[in-house]
Amino acid sequence: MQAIVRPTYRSWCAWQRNRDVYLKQWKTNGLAFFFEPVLLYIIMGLGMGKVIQDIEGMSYREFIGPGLVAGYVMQIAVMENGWGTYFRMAVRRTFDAMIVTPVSIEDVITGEILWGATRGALTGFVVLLIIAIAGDVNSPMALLVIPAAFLTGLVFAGASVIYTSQAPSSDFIGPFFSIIIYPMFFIAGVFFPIGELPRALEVFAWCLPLTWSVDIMRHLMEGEVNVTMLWGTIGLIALSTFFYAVSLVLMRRRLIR
Amino acid sequence: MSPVIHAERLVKRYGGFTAVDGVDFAVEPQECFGILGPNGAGKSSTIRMISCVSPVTSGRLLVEGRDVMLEARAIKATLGVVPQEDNLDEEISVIKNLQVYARYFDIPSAEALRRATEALALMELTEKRRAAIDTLSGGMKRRLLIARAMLNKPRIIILDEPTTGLDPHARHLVWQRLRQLRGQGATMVLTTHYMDEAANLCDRIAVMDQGRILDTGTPQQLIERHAGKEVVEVRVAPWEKEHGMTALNGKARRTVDAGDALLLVGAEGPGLEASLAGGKAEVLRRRPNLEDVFLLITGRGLK
Repeated sequence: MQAIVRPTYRSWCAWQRNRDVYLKQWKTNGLAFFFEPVLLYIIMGLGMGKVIQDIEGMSYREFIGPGLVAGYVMQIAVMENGWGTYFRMAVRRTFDAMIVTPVSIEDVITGEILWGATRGALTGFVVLLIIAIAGDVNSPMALLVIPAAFLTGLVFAGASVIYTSQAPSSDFIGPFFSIIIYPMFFIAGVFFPIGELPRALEVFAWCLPLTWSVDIMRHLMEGEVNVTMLWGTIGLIALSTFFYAVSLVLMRRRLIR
Repeated sequence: MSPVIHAERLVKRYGGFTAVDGVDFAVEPQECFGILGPNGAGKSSTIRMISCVSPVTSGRLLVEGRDVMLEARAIKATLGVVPQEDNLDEEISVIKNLQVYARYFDIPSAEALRRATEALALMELTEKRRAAIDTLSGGMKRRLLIARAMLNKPRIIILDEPTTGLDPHARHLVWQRLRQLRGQGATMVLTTHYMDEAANLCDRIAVMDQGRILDTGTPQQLIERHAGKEVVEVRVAPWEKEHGMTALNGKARRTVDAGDALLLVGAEGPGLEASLAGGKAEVLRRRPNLEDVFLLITGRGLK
């Protein structure tokens, strides 16, 4: 077809399709997504909170809350655009049904990534709400956590679509979690300050997009603004744009033959 | 009138494999054009190029005068595509499937609901309106796919093996509905490897094998051209086939091995039986069908 087919407003139809299906299933599995982060927040707060009274001037719960928001935004987006995208693409052949209409494959993929980011933002919102109810949010700036969650979602949704575009089978999706996503979750400063890590590992941690996101979330909930956050935001925007562009190319290569 | 779909030296290659090897055909307005061939003949590749989801390797393919490589979106808006595999949204109800699909064509929601209701009625699925997809039978799913393909009021309906996997009753229901759609003036292109389907639905048929179109015509023309008015089928045991071929030599214009039988075209009248293994073979004189045509053109059966 044309060398570059630009996505259009029809991406929105693809997003709406996923929303409609999600809302239909919402009673059965739609609410489970925030159970894990909230559980971690409560249990770790109760246990570790006793041991650690003060961590960078915060209680332990105040410290991990924003980290869990970022970490689970990542995980939900990766799930949605890992197994979810694979399922729609290869099992149900939903994409095949869509691209014989005026919707192009670029529209479909754009809708997929926006949907993954939306799921991420929704997770961010719900977890933030619970943290706020628990009294661990110290600034109205925390509202900016929601757009930050959407941006974080975009980065990982794009990365996940890229990974999924190369998947020969659904078994291929699991390792993305065990090799990339979970290690990132443990090293990105969710549970402890990365400054405590050996120097080399600390530098490595700062190269990870989740670290930027955790840092942004934490400062927003504390009501502080600093220059690292700005760099983090620029980094997330740049990375999400890059991943998005690559995902379009790879998905077209896979599906338009 | 210019053709609705026009292919010139159309080629599709996947890497080193040539699926469609330079075909020419023209689909006329309001006709039902069938592409008949075995699996792997290049039928689906041709259909996918017409549907603008598979790039043309070389040659030219125009749909209503538009080049599929340049105006995919505009062409796709006028097509109704019924896929070979069911790709319905299983998580949502029948009516919701149609509503979601209508959005892809920018059909406003009130209009979409109206058209969806109409399409369900036409496909006799009105009672299934709120049903979950996995409660539908194979035939119902296929009819729902057809209903879905009608939402944008397509001028061209494309069906890739519309009844593969359906039981005879369900097939006839689908055929009835397709004839009704044709009556409403849409142009139809369908692929099939069932000769009865081609004979039942199609005004003209292109016989396709190994990426090439071997002949095109109305079912009657094809039959007369290749098989004449009558064929003789001689059932022989596999070990007697060779002997039979020799014995029948010169008794017919053409003798072809049809697997479990020998097929004779232009056979001479009586006395045929006598020349066969002492008259033990089963001999059947009958009207030729498209399956014979395929066998005679390619030298192989359809399946």
